[in-house]
Amino acid sequence: MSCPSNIIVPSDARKCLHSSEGFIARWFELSCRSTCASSLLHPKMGTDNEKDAVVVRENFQPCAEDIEMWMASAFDMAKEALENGEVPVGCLMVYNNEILGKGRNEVNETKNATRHAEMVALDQVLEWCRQRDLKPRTVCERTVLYVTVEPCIMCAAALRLINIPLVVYGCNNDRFGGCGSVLDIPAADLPLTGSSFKCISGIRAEEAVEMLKTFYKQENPNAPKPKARKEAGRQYSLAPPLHNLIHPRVYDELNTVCPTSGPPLTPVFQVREMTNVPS
Amino acid sequence: MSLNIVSDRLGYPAEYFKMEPLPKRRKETECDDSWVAYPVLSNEQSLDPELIDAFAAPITDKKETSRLIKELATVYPLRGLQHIKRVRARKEKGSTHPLEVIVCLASDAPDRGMDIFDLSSAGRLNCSGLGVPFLVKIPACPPLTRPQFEQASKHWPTSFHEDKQVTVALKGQLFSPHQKSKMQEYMMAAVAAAKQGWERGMEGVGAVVVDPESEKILAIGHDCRTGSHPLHHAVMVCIDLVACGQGGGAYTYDKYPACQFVLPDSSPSPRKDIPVCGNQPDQASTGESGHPYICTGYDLYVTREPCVMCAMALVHSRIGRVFYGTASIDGAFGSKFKIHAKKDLNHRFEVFQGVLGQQCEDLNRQVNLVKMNS
Repeated sequence: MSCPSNIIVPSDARKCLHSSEGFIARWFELSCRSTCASSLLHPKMGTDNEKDAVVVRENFQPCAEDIEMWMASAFDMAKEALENGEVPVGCLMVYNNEILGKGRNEVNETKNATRHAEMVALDQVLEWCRQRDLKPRTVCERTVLYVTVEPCIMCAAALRLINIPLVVYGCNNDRFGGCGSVLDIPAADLPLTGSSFKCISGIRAEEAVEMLKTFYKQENPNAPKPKARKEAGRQYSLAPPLHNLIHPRVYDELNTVCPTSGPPLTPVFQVREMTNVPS
Repeated sequence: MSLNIVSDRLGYPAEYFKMEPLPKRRKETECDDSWVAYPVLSNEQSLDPELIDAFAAPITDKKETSRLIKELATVYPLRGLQHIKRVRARKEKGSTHPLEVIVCLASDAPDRGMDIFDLSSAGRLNCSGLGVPFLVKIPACPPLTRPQFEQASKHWPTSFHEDKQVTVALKGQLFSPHQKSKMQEYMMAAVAAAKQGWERGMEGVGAVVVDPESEKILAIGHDCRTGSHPLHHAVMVCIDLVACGQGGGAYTYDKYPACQFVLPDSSPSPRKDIPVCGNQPDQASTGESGHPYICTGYDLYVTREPCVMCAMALVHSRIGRVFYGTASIDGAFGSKFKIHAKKDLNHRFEVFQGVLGQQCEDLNRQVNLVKMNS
């Protein structure tokens, strides 16, 4: 298992980090879901270190610079995935300024549709805990998930189950999103499904969408081939790509997740085309 | 010792586990008529019909009926309420005015509580032949199931395009005796796996994936969450076991001999011959067409209603149908959500609950007893 001990932040990312610092801080305030924020402070009944957990959750607020830096790293991963023909979703789990888990989708190679980037990253966190003989729960309670796309319903529930306190993500996932798009799992009343978590969303959303758009123009070679349509005279795949995060028809809607007030986020990487960006 | 470990890690509120006496165990071999599989329908299909207010009036002169219906359709069309029958016959026999007609929706009326002449819409409606209007509640949506139709008809008659399959399913008569005995066999395998998991300190939950075409079990798994991985719920284990059978898979289950899979393409073999994970030749996914694609077309049997994570995992895996034994508090196939029927999602499927319900409930009770005794 490889656990990168350091993280490379591109120099242009650093530049961007300073230029949009104020904006990020404001966006941070705006996007925190109030319902989740209050429930975050709930003492976890039944934990061995109840008091400790409350203190941790209260103080659990990475600074805007950290958020931007880790998101830049997540976007690096997504870009790399795209260049290798993978679903462009970057995801990392950070504990005490250390990346414990880095994930990308492994659905096709494992033939297991649940191997989303978040689940893969989580496995690395658990392995890290195992090697150090730490309780996964105590580590996960202080771990932030950074991901370029809103976690799906399954992953959102998984994040609850392992007690992740904060999730930072880029664009919405109107198709499967579990943090408000299709269902709001972090805020749902699920007493036996771990603890609720806080979300910060909309960070570099257009860029995340653009990468997905680029990816889904390609076909998924692993989807089963449908029967030939005689009347059409040609064969083409009707099956959606495996783990199709975003449907083409919602791309345009997705652009609306970007903030309409305040300056747009400066893209660190070149975005192929930008639409609906306020000037 | 292991019992204490189980209870410590459950962390469930005590009121969830009300201790009840354990029922006498049935012989597992005999065909069990004690359970019925009922469909878990969408809210649209299962909730009582929504009602809206309307003004109706008795038809005092029968000869005016057809003219009235024609005029009312023009002056007060019931938009979006094509299922509503405009005229109803009064049930009581010997009534002086046996027919009643819907004049308009209460929201379309000029003012509430007006008499019939106010409803004439400035003379556009010739009110002769109409009696004193009264308020009725009419169903806002067409009924989708027979129970909904019967409920709706108590208020006002509606049309009903019956889906016979749904009606039969709601009566618990969808499955033939052969199908039922197969379903019982599969669920019994899940219950057996759950017990084995429970003996190893896991939660008492088991699951089985079946190819309904070949009637073959493809994977058997049990909850492994208190072992190496907190997210290894029985359903997640089974999904990965199916992947193992297709030459993929993310984990190995060597520590759990009850977690097994078979290759979907291999020739039929008796169930006891199911090989354990790790001993499989890698020959899946070789077929040109019709090779297995995740859980497409397969059925899942699970002793307890899946949680949100597992339910969504089944959506991602394109499961064919899901059968569960007993409901759970946070369950996502009926209790808290109906993820299988959610229109926004790209894959929907049928879910049935109640298969071998008592035995599955007993699994939960075992856990409860441990909880109470610790």
